[in-house]
Amino acid sequence: MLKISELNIVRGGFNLYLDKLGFNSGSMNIILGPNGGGKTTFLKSLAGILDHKGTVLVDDSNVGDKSFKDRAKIFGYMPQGISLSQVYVKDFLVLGRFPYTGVFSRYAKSDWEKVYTTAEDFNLTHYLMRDITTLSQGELQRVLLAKVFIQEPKVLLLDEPTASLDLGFKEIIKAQIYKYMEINKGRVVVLSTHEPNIFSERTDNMVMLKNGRVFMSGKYSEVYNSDNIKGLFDLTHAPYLS
Amino acid sequence: MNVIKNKFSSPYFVYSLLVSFLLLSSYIALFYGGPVSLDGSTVGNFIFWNIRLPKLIAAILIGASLSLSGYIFQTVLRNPLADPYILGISSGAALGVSVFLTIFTTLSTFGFELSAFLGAGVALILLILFYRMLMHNTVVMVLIGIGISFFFSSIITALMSYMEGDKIVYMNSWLIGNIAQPEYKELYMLLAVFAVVSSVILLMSNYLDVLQFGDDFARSSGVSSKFYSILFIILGSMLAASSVTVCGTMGFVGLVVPHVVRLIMKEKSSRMIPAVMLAGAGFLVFCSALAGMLSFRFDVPVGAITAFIGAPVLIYLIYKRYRGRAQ
Repeated sequence: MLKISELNIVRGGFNLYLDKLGFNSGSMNIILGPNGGGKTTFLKSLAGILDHKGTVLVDDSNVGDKSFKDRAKIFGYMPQGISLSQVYVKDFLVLGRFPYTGVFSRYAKSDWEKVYTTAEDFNLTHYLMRDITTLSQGELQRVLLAKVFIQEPKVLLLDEPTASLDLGFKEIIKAQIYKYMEINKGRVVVLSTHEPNIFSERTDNMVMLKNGRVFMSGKYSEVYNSDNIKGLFDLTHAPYLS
Repeated sequence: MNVIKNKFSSPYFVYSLLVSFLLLSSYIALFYGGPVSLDGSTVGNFIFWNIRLPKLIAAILIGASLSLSGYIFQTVLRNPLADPYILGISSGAALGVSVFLTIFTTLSTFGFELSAFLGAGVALILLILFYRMLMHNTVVMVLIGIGISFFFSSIITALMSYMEGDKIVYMNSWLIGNIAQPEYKELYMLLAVFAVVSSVILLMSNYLDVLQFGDDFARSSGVSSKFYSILFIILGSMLAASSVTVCGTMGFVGLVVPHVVRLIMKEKSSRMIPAVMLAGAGFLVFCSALAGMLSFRFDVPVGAITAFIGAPVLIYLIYKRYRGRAQ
């Protein structure tokens, strides 16, 4: 469903080059790799945040020709962090409907209904009138994920969605992602994380990124083993890794 | 949906509060705003129609324009310090005017306004060029703007040594910001720019809501941040330039008013913008009335009053926001 070929980005001294990568419809994919390996750059380039060379095909149509609005209907990006402004959570969440608005970008009643039902689903209803800058990290991560769901993209790009959360919030985020995939069949999830074990039940494929190149990719059960991890993270001495 | 709303922060309550403030200030400005009281005589009528009323209309339009401009800059550049004054747009207009005054002998012609707009345009082009060269880094923009502003001010100071007596007095009051005796043609120009630009901004306010969360968020949410940031910066600069041609480089209106409004309401842009414009108009009318009452031997420039009130308010807001956060 999602096909990437010769994706190339140069940022300062860093170069990300991905020769060929494919993601199947309805699959859950994990991007693993050391810090600075290119995970965020990869997700940001798909989301249209970073300009890149190469082709990205979704359902055989080239994403590079599309406007920002159309691209946001295909890719939804959940960032690691965001520079916040003082607004109510509801006014933040409705921004997920922006790609679907018309000329003057007014939100329709159906857009607000989508916000309210998703908020209910996320147990965020009582946060809707809260100032977003006053949320805790765990609450903010849920709001950021809810915004991406409200955007209803075909491909969800989640950049370390469980980073720096407690165990409870990690489980909540995981459950929401699984539920979304079950209800919306055919959506692709591409998720970068340093804790792949959290998502082990549902993960189909894994891409290992190192120094801006694919170190290893394939079925999760085949690729995720101690030999590959030692290579990926340059672990010459790791006596407790099994 | 059980959402409890605080009625004191509801936008309509804030609007009505600001409208009352504007009406009250306007009343004071019209009837008590100067050493001469209005008694219905011929002189009184003349003062009312030719001095007080144009002054009031100018103060309303300039206050609304400058504060909206400041709101746009602060939102798009995500910097609480951004306003047309600090970004060098106003200094550009001032440079244009001082070049004009140095070369030509007449004070009031069409060329005066044109030179202010041209000067603001030069500052704006410099700002946008640096914005593009610096990979659209919005944080650095303010620093570049401060640099441009100081550079232009140095040229203005040098040019002023070539001017004659009355022009220096005029230039001095203009650099502080003053609404002296606006002509009706200036009011039409202010009104035209304000009406067009503020309607465009209101129509596109949902883009502002997306842009305020940064370039990455905007692009992944369907907004070309490069294009729309520059568009909003141009719109904000137009508001600033039209104001500066009439009142000079007036500080603190564009900087302080949006902060005060943000303190009393946290809404999306389409609801913030009317409040910001009302508050700006009310604030400048109030300051202009106060300046009129304080004037004794010569006119106290309104810019001195906006700074006198605005600066302590700014310090208080910063104190309130960062109190207890110090490391």
